[in-house]
Amino acid sequence: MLANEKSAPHIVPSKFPRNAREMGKYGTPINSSSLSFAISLARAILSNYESLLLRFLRLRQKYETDLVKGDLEYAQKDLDEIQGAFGVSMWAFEAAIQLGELKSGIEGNRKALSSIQKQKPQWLTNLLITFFSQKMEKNVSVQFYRSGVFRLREDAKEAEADPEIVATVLYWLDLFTPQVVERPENILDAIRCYSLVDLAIAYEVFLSRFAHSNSFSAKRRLSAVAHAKQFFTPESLNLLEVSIDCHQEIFESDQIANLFDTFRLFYQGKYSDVVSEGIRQLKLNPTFFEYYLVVAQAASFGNLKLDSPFPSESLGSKLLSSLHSCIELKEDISEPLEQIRKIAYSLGNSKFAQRIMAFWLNALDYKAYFEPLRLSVLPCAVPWMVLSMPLKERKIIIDGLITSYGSRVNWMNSFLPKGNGEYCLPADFEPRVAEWLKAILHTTDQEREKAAECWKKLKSISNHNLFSLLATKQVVVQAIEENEFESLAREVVDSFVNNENYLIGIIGRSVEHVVENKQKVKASTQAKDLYWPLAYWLGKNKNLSQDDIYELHVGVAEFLAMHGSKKVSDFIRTKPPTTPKLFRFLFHVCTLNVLKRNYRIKNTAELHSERIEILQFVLNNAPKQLAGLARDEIADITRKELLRSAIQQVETRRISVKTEGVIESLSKDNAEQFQRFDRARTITDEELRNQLSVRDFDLASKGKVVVYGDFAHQLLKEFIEQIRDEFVGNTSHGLNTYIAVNVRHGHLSSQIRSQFDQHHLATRGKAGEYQDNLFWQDVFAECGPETWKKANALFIQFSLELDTLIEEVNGNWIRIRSDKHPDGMLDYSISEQEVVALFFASQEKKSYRELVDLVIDLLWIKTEGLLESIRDRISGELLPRILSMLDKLDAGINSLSPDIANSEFPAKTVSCRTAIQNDFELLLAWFTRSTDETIAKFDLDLLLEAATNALARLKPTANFIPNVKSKAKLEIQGSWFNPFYEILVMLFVNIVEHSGKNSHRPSLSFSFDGENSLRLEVVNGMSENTNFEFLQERVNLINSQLESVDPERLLSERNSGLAKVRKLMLDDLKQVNSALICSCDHEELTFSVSMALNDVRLIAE
Amino acid sequence: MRVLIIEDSVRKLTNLVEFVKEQSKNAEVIQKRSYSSGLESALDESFDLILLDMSLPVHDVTADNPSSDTLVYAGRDILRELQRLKKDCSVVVVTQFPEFGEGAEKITLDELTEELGKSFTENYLGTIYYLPSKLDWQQEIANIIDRLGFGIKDD
Repeated sequence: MLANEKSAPHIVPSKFPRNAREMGKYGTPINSSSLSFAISLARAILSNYESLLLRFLRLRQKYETDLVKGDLEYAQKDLDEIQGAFGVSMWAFEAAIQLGELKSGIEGNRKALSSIQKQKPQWLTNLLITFFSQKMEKNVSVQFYRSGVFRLREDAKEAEADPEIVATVLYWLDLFTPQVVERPENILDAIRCYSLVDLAIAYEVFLSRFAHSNSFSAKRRLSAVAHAKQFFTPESLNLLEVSIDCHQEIFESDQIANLFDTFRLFYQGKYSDVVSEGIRQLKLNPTFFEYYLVVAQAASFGNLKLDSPFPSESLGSKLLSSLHSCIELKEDISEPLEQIRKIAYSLGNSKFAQRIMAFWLNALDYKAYFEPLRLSVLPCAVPWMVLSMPLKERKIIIDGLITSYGSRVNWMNSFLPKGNGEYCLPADFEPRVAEWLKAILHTTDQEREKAAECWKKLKSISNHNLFSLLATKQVVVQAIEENEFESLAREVVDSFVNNENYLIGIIGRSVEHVVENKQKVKASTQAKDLYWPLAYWLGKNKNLSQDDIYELHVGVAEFLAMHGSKKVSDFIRTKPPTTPKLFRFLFHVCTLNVLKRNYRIKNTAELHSERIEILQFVLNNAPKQLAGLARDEIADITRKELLRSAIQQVETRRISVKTEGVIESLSKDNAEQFQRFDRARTITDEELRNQLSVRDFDLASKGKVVVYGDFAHQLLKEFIEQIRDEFVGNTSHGLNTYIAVNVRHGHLSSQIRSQFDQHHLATRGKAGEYQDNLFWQDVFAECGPETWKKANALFIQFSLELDTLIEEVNGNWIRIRSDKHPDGMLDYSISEQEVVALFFASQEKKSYRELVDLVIDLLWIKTEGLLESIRDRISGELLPRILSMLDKLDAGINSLSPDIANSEFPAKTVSCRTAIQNDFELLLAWFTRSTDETIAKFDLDLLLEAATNALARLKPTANFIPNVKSKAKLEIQGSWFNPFYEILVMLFVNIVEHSGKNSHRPSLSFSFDGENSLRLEVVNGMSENTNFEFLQERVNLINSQLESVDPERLLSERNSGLAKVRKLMLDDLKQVNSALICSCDHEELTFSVSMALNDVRLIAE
Repeated sequence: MRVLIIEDSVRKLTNLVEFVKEQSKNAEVIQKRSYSSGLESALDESFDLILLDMSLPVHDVTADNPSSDTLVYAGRDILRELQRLKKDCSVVVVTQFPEFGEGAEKITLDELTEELGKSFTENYLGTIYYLPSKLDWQQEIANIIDRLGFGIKDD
């Protein structure tokens, strides 16, 4: 069929395609029924192009060699030559993207991708190259890449995609997935439609796997291997034959002999020689993985400096240093392990890549994946492969090796046991290596006791981390097999405490057994020895549920009870002996989530300080790495606490009067009024004597006499009222302005509405124009077609009633009582009694300032009383009215259909009802007199976080993420936090309310000249439907109004809010020399606000 | 009769307090509004009955502590603590939610009731679904108070 002109194109539609469009264009009419058939067919096809393909394989080897040693220009030439001779292929596409990334980073990567995409590839090719591009990116981890592949697999499953296509895609994207192993014949069939270059590589991959598959007879497998000799090196082909049948003759080669000699040097402890020889071999063959491994091990065991033979940024150097770190086990090995996997994935499906992955899978004990790879990816026979072979096979192989290599490998005989089952390793082997080999051999022979003895001895004679890890692994495996969960918990926790790196592979996963058998472990360990909570944490730490947190809380509570402490901080203060286990317990188990369960901690601030005290203990006593983590968390919590305090400061400082400002702005009249009053209240002794002598009054015997006449009363009253008017009405410093800016201007409405918005119970709009409540449309769909319509009408009615009530509170309650606002609750009229009381209180106040201060005190007392009335009315009237409206809505909606009871509506109303009541606690706190306490200082990060946080609360459904383009480093005095915060919140609210968009990504730039000038620019996108002509007119009007602050506009709620920003800049931040300008750009569809503060020395630290 | 009500919703709390006082004239009712303050009272004092909400803030929400995280299964944790510390007391869960939690941890009220019944055989008397618009909850609480021997007739 292959020779037939008509049928051949159907079997191999495109041999060496010249462009991406041709690849994968045709289907495969011949589907192989088995792997055996698919391999035979592939071989038959490839044999027709044998010489060409051998040239490709040689060039590919050269390309890979140049790439690994960092000769990227040579690698480029190799790739160009391959593409010139063999056209395009999936292999070439992957290589081009990889080379692009290595040469020029992401730019090179994308350039290579785009150049392939210009050829208009088929959709599947396009999908694959897009994934290749992502995989090669320096900053994309393999885990992230694989999660994308996983999603693709899940999507394909959901779409019921052809499993053969899915398997083929996975072969190229992730060779180490089960589907690839399950459907190799389908993959070989599909690849015939790409390029023979790709078929040759797939043939190499699957023949190796076929050779190790027990599903076929040894004869058949040997035959398949014999037919493939053109495509393999003699050494690797021989290894395949020997793997199938250990009686096969072992091929004699210098490569194998050299490797065995190097390993012998390693076993003898001649580490320096191993490193020299290994490096020499790597220079000759940079893709020979065994030399990387033996060099890294020798350098670590011999404490030798490791110098890579390749440039530091080359893949070869990175592989060598990562392997070295994994063997050293001194620093955290998660990064080097990830690096090793990244290198393997970037090298596609080559044998070198598979060998690297075999190491990675073995290190992490992924046996299911590792086993099929174990021997199939070796380039030739290696000494260690016999260590895990059953005795019978081991003996045959060792005999075969000695037959081929003679006395040079006689030492291999020591891998066979003596008559008593003991091993006698050569005397010149390094003692710990000899013990290690014995331990492995006994483990293979399933001589548990002997193996355990050797592992134990190894641990005692060596302090190398790798041996401790391997010995621990053995103990863990044995404990699992024997259901010894308590000793398993101890072993795992001790390992973790000694070295976190030990928790890789089976040791890490073994904690699952501890958790599964928690009752047994808990019962057999003591609370004070901490094994249980630490083992439980280790078993669950990646995904702690509420139950797990409670379990850890019990661990902590029982530990504290054993030590007679109520809180962890109490225990720490007893100055307990510091042990690594205690540090781990404190850091990992006594976390905020666990500490929350301790009822002796009363509030969030206490909770934070409890955790900080724990972390400080760890910081001051624990080893460097853990101390560093503690330091980072302290910084994080401190910041959260600062943010919390800052927000609290704003929330409790809404009612304010700048008394100094008020006093400064008192007119000359007021001082003159004081003079008049002072004269009226102080009558000279002689005048008084004259008046009183008529009545025969003996002044001398009575001491001081207070004289209070109508005139003095009237003068004092006028004096008080003048001060009151400034206290209440001063547009820069007075109470009414603060209430307008901090309460009435959107804040009260947003605060009350916030929970209703969040629970989708209210929509926005004006009377007759409220938005439909679309959230419930789908939810109520099952309750009949009319239900949502009726419900929507109720939601709109509710929204209207809610806004009307808010308007009533804003417009009538929270007002200074006047003719215009007769129902205003802030009634500052001064009663006659107050004047009289003040008169008598003022007797000792001789100066003008003293009397002014006295009046201000009176006004504050009055304010506190008025605020209390407001608080009472909010909790006694406003809240019940709102809850009653919610009840009405709840009942109305529920009456529409009995099915509503089964929807999420009931839960939403319940949760909203509770949340509102909690929110009202915060609202009540607004109506208290501000204290002078402020945070010490803040930076722009904190400010931004607090403002974004506030917006999330005020506009809970807004999708708002600020994009900070530049941010000056500037520390500002804490007392200035409030105005800055209010400014940002106002700008953010403006964006959400006026941009006409659903999601908001405003860009922010803060620039500081280092001395006196701070500029802030906020630019946000506007909806395409914006009427920019109208907006421009508004901008012009606003800008003209911003030149000065009009008090009337300031007190009005119906403006853009920028007038309030201007007020905050001028009066609160004292930035007389400042500017606020807004603008819009109809081409860019943006609106910008630019703020310049030029007296920053006043506020900066 | 000493009753502890641990409930964060002011209105529900008020309704429960009023109803308990109606049912048991001499009842002394202590009110707590969070997991920590409620658990502290439950452990430090003696009560004939505890009415317990399931989801509660960790700490009391006050002007000084204006926000607190919510523990979705706070009620269950309180029951666990009473059991662990061997505190003998009759507990009834009174909740307004038909289901709890999110994702893998989500369970319905019936499932939770079944779980509580199995886990807390000593203290737990049952769960009452509180719907302010219906009076079923009142009847159920009245029955429990009667069962405990503190109903109107006994006072």
